[in-house]
Amino acid sequence: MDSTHTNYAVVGEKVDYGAWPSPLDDTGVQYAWDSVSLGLLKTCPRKYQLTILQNWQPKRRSHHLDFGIYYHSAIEFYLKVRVGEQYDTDGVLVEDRQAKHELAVRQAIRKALIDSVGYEPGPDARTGKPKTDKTRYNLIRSLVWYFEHYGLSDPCTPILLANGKPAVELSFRFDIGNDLMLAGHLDQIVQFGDDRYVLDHKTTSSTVTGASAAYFFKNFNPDNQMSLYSLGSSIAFQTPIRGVIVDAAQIAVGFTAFGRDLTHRSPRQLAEFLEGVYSYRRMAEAFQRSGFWPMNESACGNYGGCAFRGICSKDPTVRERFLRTEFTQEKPWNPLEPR
Amino acid sequence: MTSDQTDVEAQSEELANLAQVDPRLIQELFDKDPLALTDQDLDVIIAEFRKDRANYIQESSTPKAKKTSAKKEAVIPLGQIDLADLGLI
Repeated sequence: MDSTHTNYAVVGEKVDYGAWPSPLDDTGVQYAWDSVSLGLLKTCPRKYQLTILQNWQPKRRSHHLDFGIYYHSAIEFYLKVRVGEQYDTDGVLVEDRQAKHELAVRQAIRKALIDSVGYEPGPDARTGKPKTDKTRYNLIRSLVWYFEHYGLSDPCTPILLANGKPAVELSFRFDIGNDLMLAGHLDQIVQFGDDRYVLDHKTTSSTVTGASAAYFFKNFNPDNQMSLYSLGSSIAFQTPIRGVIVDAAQIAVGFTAFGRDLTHRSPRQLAEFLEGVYSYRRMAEAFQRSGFWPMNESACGNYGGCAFRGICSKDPTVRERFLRTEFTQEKPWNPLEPR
Repeated sequence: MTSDQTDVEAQSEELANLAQVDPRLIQELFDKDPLALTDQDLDVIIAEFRKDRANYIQESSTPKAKKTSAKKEAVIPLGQIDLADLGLI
């Protein structure tokens, strides 16, 4: 590896962001935030330091993340293909809506199969048995079922951008004053009835239909990502956005179920969210000045346990050795890099 | 034959008539190099999963058969029990 472009960062060394601008200012404090980095700081300053500032990631990526990426990518691909020009095997332009839909489904499934080659969820940490929900088989099943469930009859349709392309997979960034910037990447901007919304795909094992669905959907208010989408989409894309539609898929062993719900932010809530960003930025400045990023021990057990719990539970003198053994520093998280 | 028994048999027949998904067929196609999958292979995968979904919807919408109770024992009202009939005297 060319040493001038190394992305390796040990404690105290500078992370190289490659071709993209650094999200850190000259004092090493982050000025460009997204929901991931903001969420990490709010969860635990030490976790934020290890993940964002020092670029440590678990060697094996979460299968939830992989599954979600394959799922999102296939749906966005389907939409792009369906909206774009398609030709049949004889080179004739396909104009029939149903035919375009079928071609788009086939290409999206092909993409998902290619992207997920070699993907397996790995064993359950508690039982040691193979996980049976977010498998490759269930990924493809979920996608076929999604296209059947929504498909051409979906009441939410992606708007078209000025270049004629559907508003899917959009990266955005905007200034919020105080030398700060917010950035993000949203799945779709859709027309639903008379209004426009951000639509965000989620995959979960929770129930997303019926009376029990409220338990899942209440997680999105308050929520960094949804607040950021609500704020950023209107500003960055200069179109009034009514709210965010959470487009959820419950991935079970033998079936996939689909549910949607709307999350909305009032202007006062968005102002409060911004105040929060400014406050956390001031907190980050203070930690950077002192050189000490404290742990939030009450967050160690969240979501099945923090990836760094095994590190933070060790004596400080040996932590770096365990970090180098169990974690990697391949690609830094950069809110300014479009995805 | 009771109406409950005809309901159960009708539902069983309906479920049996649903097109069966062939998981081995899907797995064979999954095991192929995805770059080598033909359009026909993909159409088979999609058709099998569509069948799977139709079965799931059908099974979910079929009301569960009522549990038929065993032939009910005759209940003798209190005050009319004959101990001699029960062999107790």
